Amino acid sequence: MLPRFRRVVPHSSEEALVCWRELGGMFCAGGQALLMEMALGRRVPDVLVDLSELEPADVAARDGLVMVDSLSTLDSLELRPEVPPLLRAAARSVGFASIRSRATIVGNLCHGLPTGEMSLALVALQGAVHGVLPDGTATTKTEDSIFSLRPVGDRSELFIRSVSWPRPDASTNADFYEVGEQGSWQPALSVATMLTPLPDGAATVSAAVGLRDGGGTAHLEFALPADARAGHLRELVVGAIRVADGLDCGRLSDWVTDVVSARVAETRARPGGT
Amino acid sequence: MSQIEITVNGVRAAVECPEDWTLAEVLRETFDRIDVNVACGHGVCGSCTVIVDGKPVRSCLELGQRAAGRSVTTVSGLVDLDLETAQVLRTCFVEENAFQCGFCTPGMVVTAFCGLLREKRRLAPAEAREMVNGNLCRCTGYTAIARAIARASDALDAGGARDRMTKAMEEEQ
Repeated sequence: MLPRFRRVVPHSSEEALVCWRELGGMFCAGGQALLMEMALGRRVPDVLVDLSELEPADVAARDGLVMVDSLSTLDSLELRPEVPPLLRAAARSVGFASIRSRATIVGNLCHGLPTGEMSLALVALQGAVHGVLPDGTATTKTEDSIFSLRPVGDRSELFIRSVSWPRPDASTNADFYEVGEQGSWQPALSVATMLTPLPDGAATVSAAVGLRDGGGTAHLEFALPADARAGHLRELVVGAIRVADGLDCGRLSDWVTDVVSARVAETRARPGGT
Repeated sequence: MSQIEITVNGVRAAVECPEDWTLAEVLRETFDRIDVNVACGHGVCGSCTVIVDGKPVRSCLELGQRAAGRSVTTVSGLVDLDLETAQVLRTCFVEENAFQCGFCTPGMVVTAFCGLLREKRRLAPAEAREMVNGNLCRCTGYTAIARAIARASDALDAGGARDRMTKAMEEEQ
């Protein structure tokens, strides 16, 4: 049972913006998180601006950037060759088939979780989130601010329209990994890793790590030499976490370092471009 | 309150649907579809899973009015999408005794039906278990359920029913 609300259904982005500006309330894209929160009484918006009638725009690639409509469902990313393996892997990690068929990129971003799949993948990809403020001003979120998109209260603060990222090298390897916890639908730890091989056998690493329950997030970037063994890799990860300064691992520090190092090693071991 | 047209198990009807009703409420209260079981009511257990335009959907997390103009299939309607596949799944569930109280069974069967279509191959029991990992069985009878789905994947692979199932689902979309 959902609390009572008024549903308005815009048929264009412009109409959606007008509805939201004049009536307030919350945007409802796939609704998989919002309706759950409403069913549990955690959110009671007066108005739902239902975006289900807006057709997501096609994937656009230009000037070295790839741009995807934020209303794209997570299962649709699987079918788009322009979407990099990291984003596809992250999308596959979300919920179940019956959730991914409705859940959207924007809905996942609006969880605002440090372990959020789309957020971490976008940070590792050095991507951005593009939206519009109520007064019509365009705004872009990158890095840490991607994790602060969760609406406070029962009114959306931003109309998120699209996400973009620099087109990765075709030989880039990627991996998305979650450590679950029994009894919770939120992952305890999520790691998005992307390795771009260099001609000499070395690689550049871009990894985003999120730890639940106040653990925070960090974007790790470092060069991985061709001859780096496990001990060396671990040292590089420790150094990158220290530089990034976003994670508060506490007693989990060794465990987080081990997991991240293992994921980087696993990603590196894959054939190119997977 | 507004009127929506919706097709449920092949039958098209115009019904009144309040704005705050979920698809599960529409199916149960208006269409008397008691094969759509609602347990948690907030998208966790998967017992209310139905197929909307060829895709599995948790009907407790779908607004009823969003189903306007769409085609909804519950577990009873799977026979209309593909008789043989539905029968194979049903037979395997019965022969493997893959239910105890039976409350989760409609959601399990609908999810497995869609999963078998997606995977198009024989499944090991562990893979079959993974296929329905978003569906909770409060009797914890997962082993038999996974066995039934794996056995159905074997039977469908051998019987060539999968091509027919794919065609039926494409037509549904």
